Amino acid sequence: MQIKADNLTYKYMKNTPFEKEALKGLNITIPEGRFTSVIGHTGSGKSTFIQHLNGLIKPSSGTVTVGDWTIRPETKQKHLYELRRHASIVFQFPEHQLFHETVLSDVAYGPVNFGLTKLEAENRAKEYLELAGIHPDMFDRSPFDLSGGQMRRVAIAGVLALNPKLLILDEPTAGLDPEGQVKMMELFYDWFQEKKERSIILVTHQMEDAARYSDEIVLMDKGTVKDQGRPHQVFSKAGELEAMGLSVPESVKLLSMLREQSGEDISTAAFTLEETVDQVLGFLRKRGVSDRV
Amino acid sequence: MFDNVIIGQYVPKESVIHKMDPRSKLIIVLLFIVFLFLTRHPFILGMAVILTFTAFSMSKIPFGYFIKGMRFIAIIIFFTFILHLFMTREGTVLVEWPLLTIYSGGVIEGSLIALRLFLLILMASLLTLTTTPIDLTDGIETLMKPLKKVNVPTHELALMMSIALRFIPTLLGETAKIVKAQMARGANFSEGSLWKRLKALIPVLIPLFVQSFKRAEDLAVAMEARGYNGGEGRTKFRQLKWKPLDTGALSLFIAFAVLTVIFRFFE
Repeated sequence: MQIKADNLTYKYMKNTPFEKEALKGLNITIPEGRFTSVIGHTGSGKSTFIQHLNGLIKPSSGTVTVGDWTIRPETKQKHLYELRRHASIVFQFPEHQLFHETVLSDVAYGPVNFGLTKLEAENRAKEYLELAGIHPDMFDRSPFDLSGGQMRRVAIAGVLALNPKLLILDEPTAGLDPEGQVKMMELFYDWFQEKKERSIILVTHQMEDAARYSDEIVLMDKGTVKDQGRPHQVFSKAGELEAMGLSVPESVKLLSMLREQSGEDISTAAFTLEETVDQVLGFLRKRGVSDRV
Repeated sequence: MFDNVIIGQYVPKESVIHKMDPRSKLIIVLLFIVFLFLTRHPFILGMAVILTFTAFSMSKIPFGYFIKGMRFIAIIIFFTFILHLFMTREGTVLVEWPLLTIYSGGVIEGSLIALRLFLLILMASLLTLTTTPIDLTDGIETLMKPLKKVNVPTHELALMMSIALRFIPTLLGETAKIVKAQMARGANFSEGSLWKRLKALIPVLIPLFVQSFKRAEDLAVAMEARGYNGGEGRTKFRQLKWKPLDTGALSLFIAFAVLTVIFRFFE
């Protein structure tokens, strides 16, 4: 689903002494079928922005259009209920939303809400639990007996089982070990590639993830969009990012250092280990030391 | 969703009321409430209204913010008014219908109780709106000190209260988050029968309880890890300071209390 925000403004605790403007006239267009990462410093409005995308919060002024739905300040909840069928959010620490007696019924909760029969919902729950790497032995256990990592996988299966077209992820890997982080991101990426119309919006502080998986990166600062473009474009402006309290991926850091110190023209747009090694090898070859490598 | 809850909410401002000692504020609120319910003399009630509104305007807290937070309490006040209106059988008959009769005494009693409740809530809210939870518990603990002699665990009580107050905003935030997460999974809280709506709350309440117990356990472990063991021999980093301002304010309300008693004798 295509996303379009037009002059989107949102105020927290409106008309109280604690009023705070989180989004200030934000404008953006994100095409369908893309993997988009939203990066920005804490308090830049990332989380507030993505909660508009399935109507969990409504704009204070301006509009958001997601697919066929337009969300305005006066839009009714009933209208937005339909939108949530197609656009779903995995919140930070999604394991906090588990509540059912068994793992299976917890995952089936969403699909049942959106009109599937109990049997259909459970079949779908099984499918997505296995996709998320949960062994069938655990289906009848209480979700509260699982380990933290397993709980998160169950919670994520509960969102994937809704079969959304647009999946919004709010720091889904926070608090996981490095191996768990990679597995989790691969799970989302495989899901994303399965069908052409699927889109992902990822909010993250992990610049490596943003660079590796995204078609496009959106840089937010102080409630507005500062930059939008392909990863190598956004990450080529390291100075600008650092001024906002953000970093660039480690591979970009390494290659920029090499470029500065050697004076050679090295591309810094390498986000995986292989790409980075290729760049370094290319540099060594230019210097005529390739025989020794 | 919970933007308008003002119970336990502290609004930081630079005002005379904010600067007062929590002990004097606590005594004043207690005095005021007790004597407010002792009187029905119009002069004293008028004075109570003036005192309350002066105090509120001095606190620099926007009145609109307070009124918004009052919505739920307004319902209680309204029902109390209606009950008194229909139940009191004194004075002259104003309205006579087959099933209900309204007496003039009912109107007077109803308005009186509504006014008292309103002033009570306003004063009590003013206390929590202008005092940080930590100051408030420090104040309560000092005022309860005499009870320690009869083995009342005053420090523990004060600590429990401060922890409870401290976690109100946290729990509200947590609830809002879980509500959103379940709404994203198709929960519907605003449609269907009462039973259906109550049932829709289960997916919110269970995670909330699980989280709260976990948090309580973490807190207990953190306190024990730092060797916390109650009030005995504990000194305070933040000292309460009684200022001339407090003496002045308290005197004013003692005068109010004395006047109330005098008017009661000469009624």
